[in-house]
Amino acid sequence: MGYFLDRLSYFTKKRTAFAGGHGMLVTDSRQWEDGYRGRWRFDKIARSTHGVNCTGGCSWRIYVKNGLVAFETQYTDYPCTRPDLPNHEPRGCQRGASYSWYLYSPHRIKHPMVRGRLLALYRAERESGLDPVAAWAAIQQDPDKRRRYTAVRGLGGFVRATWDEVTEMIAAANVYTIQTHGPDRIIGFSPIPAMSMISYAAGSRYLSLIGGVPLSFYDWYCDLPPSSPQTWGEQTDVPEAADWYNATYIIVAGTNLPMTRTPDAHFYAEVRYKGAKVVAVAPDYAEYVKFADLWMPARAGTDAALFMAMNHVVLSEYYIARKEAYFQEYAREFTDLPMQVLLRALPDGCYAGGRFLRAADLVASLGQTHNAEWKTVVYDTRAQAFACPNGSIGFRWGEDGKWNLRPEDAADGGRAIEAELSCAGHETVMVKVRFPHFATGESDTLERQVPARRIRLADGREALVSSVFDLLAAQYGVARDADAGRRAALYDDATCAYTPAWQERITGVARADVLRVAREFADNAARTRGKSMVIVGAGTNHWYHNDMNYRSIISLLELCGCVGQSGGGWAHYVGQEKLRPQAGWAPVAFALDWARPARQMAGTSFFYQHTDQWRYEKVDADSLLAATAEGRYRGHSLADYAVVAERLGWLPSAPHFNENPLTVCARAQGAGAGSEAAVAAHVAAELKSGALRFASEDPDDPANWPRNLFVWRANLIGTSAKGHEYFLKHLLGAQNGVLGRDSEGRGHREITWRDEAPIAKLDLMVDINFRLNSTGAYADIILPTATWYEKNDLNTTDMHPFIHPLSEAVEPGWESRSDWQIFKAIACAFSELGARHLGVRADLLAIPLMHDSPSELGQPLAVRDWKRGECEPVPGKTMPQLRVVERDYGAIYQKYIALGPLLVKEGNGTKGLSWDTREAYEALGDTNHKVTLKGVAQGLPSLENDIGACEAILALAPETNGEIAFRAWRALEQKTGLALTHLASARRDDKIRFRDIQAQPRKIITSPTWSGIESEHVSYAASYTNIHERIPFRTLTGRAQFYQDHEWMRDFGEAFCAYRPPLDMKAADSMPAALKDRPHLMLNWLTPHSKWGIHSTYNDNLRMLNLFRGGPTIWISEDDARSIGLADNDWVEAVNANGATVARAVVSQRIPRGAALMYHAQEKTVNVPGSPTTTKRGGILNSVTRVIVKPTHMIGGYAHLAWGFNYYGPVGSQRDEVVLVRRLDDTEIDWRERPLDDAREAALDPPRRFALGEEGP
Amino acid sequence: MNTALCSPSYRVLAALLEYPDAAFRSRLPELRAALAASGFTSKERIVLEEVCAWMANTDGLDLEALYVRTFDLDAKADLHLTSHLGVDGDRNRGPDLIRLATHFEDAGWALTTRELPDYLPVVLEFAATLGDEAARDLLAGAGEALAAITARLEGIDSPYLPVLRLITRRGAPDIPLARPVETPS
Repeated sequence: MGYFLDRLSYFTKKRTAFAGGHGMLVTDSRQWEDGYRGRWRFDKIARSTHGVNCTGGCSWRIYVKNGLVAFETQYTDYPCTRPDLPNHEPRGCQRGASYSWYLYSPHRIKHPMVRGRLLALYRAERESGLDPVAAWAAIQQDPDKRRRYTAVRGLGGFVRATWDEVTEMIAAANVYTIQTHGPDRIIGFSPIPAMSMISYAAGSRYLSLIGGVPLSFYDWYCDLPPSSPQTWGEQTDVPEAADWYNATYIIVAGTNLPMTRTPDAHFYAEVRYKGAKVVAVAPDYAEYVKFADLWMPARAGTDAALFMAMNHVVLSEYYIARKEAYFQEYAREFTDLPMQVLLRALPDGCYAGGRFLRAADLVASLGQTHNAEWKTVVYDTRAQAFACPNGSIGFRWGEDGKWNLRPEDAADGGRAIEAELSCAGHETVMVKVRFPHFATGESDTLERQVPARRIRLADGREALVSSVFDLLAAQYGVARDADAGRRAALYDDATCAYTPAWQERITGVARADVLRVAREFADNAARTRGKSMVIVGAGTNHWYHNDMNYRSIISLLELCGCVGQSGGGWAHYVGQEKLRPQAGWAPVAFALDWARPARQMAGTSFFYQHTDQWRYEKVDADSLLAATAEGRYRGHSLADYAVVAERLGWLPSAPHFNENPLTVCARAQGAGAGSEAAVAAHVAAELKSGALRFASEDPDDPANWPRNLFVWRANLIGTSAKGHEYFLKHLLGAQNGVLGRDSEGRGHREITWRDEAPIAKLDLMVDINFRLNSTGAYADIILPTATWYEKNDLNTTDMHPFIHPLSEAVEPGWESRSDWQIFKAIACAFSELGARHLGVRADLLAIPLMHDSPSELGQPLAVRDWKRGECEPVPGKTMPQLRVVERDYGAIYQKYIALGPLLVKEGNGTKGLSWDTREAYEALGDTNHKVTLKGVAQGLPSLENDIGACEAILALAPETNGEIAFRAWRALEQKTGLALTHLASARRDDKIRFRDIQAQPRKIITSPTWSGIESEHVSYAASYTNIHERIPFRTLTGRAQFYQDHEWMRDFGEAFCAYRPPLDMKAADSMPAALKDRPHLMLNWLTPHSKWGIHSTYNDNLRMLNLFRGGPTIWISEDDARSIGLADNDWVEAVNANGATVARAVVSQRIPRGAALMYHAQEKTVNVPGSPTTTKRGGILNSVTRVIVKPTHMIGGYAHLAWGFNYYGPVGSQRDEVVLVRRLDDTEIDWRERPLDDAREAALDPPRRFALGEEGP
Repeated sequence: MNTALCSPSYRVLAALLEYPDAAFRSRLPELRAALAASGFTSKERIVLEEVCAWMANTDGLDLEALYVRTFDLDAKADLHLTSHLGVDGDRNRGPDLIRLATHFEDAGWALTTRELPDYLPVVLEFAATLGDEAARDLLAGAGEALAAITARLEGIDSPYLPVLRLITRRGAPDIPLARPVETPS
């Protein structure tokens, strides 16, 4: 007998204790764990993102069960980067993680809503037997009826309505407006298409089909840096965040990376561990400062002085004392520094910088027979003669093969040349040149010695020319000899502008720090061939003279050869404008598949005119002119300049004229004009005679008012209305807090003044959103849209190289619909009424001289104004292009739902290129199916649903269709004479489809739409192909331009970058005694972005509100607060002539004295009491701002200075404002929750006794 | 009225809280008639009769505007119960909604609405399918949210206040019909 059978082979007793008694087996129920298991058990997980205006563009997992969204978590499946580069993920921040709150939140707009009084009026007219359009007309033509609903905008009173009823009302309003006033009175505002391209395209497609007007937004937000088009002819092109990791020296100025670039900030943190030095420029101790090795606390708005002092050092030490070889080579080939400039004699014997010397100025035009007036000139040191190098704008249009940056003489068989930077030592004469100067308390010009050559021009006259470099070095006051002692003495000379000592007084930054950082930055760039980077943002860009701030920084980067180099260059992160598949998107978005061109308008000039902010203008345009200005428009107001710019075809105009463009066109055709050219000639003649006028000449004439406004994907009124209170007063006719006088800006030369300012210009405002914000509160009709987890769409950003989707994780909640379906429904309702009331009409479009088109070659040498008789009005040359587009108003729906035939007939393209797109178009007929509805759309690729629209964009864009990319590069090869298709050939067969990006984000394909490349070897870096492939910058000279030679640039003293102090807006200089006599502070109004919101989104999200004070706050320095007895969390009121806003004070050591910091876009719908001064609701950050335009941003038809949608144009700056801040007692807090009565309804304006500059009661 | 309902008074309460559009207003007489036959106490009937009379005597669009102002645009009186659970409760809102929908399904009911399962009329209609005690338990479970809504209606002196007070009281009978409900702090 053994033990074998006593023991089991396959079992042993469960152990009750193990691990020496440390472990124990228990038999309690473990059912409770199911709760946690269940939490992670879902019907599906969808991939989506947040279509908010955020550069994150993070991909998220959306957990869905029973048709309900439970929550979201970050996706972590981005394609990997290469070895030695951190990956992109995790991407996603506290804001994105809170988004699902909105789906079921009390703020969700669940049903279509209409202002009750309007609905009652409309129903009454309809019930009386009127057709919808006649019903709308009956309301609009009766001022009392109209006022009944416009006067209560913002005061509640909504009721629900059906989709059928609201779409009928909207269609009726649109048809009535087209019939009575013109399609160019129907306006649309929606920003940042890159975030949800289909949603944007929905509204813009509908508007474009009916002839309505999408407004630009990037410029209006002041996120667009005009310096970028000015320097590079490029809107904004920046490195992806991963490229920060390739830098070895970084300066960060005015952009709070951890706060506003949260998912990307890790690259900023990580690169320091690789050894990169980080310098932060900020007036306050901002979050990004904590990452830095050195903090340069420059006073707000003085960045230009700081960086120009650095430029002084770099010029002195790397261009004069020694000639750094890499910088010299870079400057000669890729900048305008060697370009020759004519000197203009001043009456006092001195000179001023004139325009660029052109080939046409010289004998035999230096061999150029085509566009010789648009070709700039260098001095070739090899041939010791002037030469016309390849690549200037004249080579871009009308000839092939020489628009490139090869250092060659374009005339002499492509002979190699070496452009001379400086003629010092070889000059004919030294002359005194005056440079405009604006530093407070200093002379208005800097008189400097400049070496110049005397030359003979083709017309026999003699002239003096200097290189841009020689002028630049002179402006900076750089010592032209290599004497180290003299150089050092100059650095310490505070009386010499642009020296380190000089800037110290202005910026408060120690001169030693400036000197050290300048040397380190340049030294690093010289040794790494340009791996020095400056990351910049709104803190630097949101100023009136933002282009000066930025050009000072760009100058540093260009002088150090950093632009276009991996790990180097200019990294501007403000606003979200990298719509990667742009060329595929534009035809869908602007209905270019059906009609070309599309009507568009510059947001800033539109709002300046039509919210009547120009009526309050206190800034005299003459005060902005340079002392050296020719000033042929001296005496013009800022608004007058805008009128001039519109009539010269520089800026777009909408409404165009003081008449309906349908009527204008019909009259021309009635007079026998058969062709488009004949219509244009007829209209030009009417404009010349004065029979027809631009609407901007009389913006307050009711004939020129905008009438219908659609706002979707936006919070125009509550976030981005610079001059919020003026919007309320003039555009909407609502309760407002405007305190200033509407006659400040009464003196005009171009504009008809009307004593009575218009109230409530808009007949109808429609807001389309998923949450109720301040825009909805002021709208007449609110439509419920799908959230970002309820629709299919596309998303890209400049911060990472991927394209990925928004997906319909759940059906749109309640009665909401996707934007694509909403505008489809409106188009359907419109077509029915349009067929009946409008039929087929010819529409006249006034289109500006567009950038990236041949019309950017407008007037080459000087400004000639047809209205002043200086030239003839020539459409497309000296005035806008006048184009005719046929509109079949009964077929709008059919066109909306089908991809139109023009894509085959005329091809597709972007940035001046075009290519055949037939195969992609035909393939879409199979992917998307074909429209079966009878009519013009039958048999065409369908866009009936949002995925179909996504597929159309993906198929048409070079970034997502390799074959298209290949063709696009081939088109550019022909234009430039360079070999370029290699940039896309590796991915020629790639086609990225919607289902692909739902599976995983995809890296886009390299395309000539952008200046960088998508590669396994370098991260995306802007201007990479300009430097490495020698594709010209899209500027006059084809190079990065330090010098802006346009007449208006020279007039306003900005031919070169100059330091210009913050502008005195004069909004707080005549405050009433009631405010002045109590303790108060006068503070600069700074409005950066916050940690708890993306613009106004998330600022009303309970999860985010709970993380801070739960309502609006204003940050104030401890010392300032103490001086007026203000304690943390006290209520404060900020007031100036523009209005007032009320918030809690955050008293902090972080803030410097003299500044009030109110985080951008805290909603007035959340915990904002009334303002004691205005007696209206306390307002928003923009209640104390007013927009102001800058004439230099209006220049057009001049190569890179030409208008393009969101490319160039006036920007809506808002950081120069000063406000009066005072403490409020709790007893002064009035939440204004009272029923509406007649007296309150009648009191649209603040009480008269508070009106500024007027007597008390 | 569906005679199969165990507690028809909740069906009436659910109907009373719906959007008062033209269709609702045309059904108002039917609702008033049902007050007598639906298991309300006489005190409750008097209160609800007053509310119905107010609705009948108010201009249609004014009534609609008041409803939108009260329930659609005022977060504090939102009729979606789980929106009142405070920040801590909010973190679980999605899972809570899913649990509620599952609860209805488990009881054999499929939702036919695009409304959320925590919309008070939905919850009341479900209560109507339960026995009296179970219905009261259901509402007692929603006591915190109901109290918050009631307190807000109190604050704005809403004509809907009696309806909410009545519903709250069903789940918490110690609260008097006529006295303001305390807001939980």
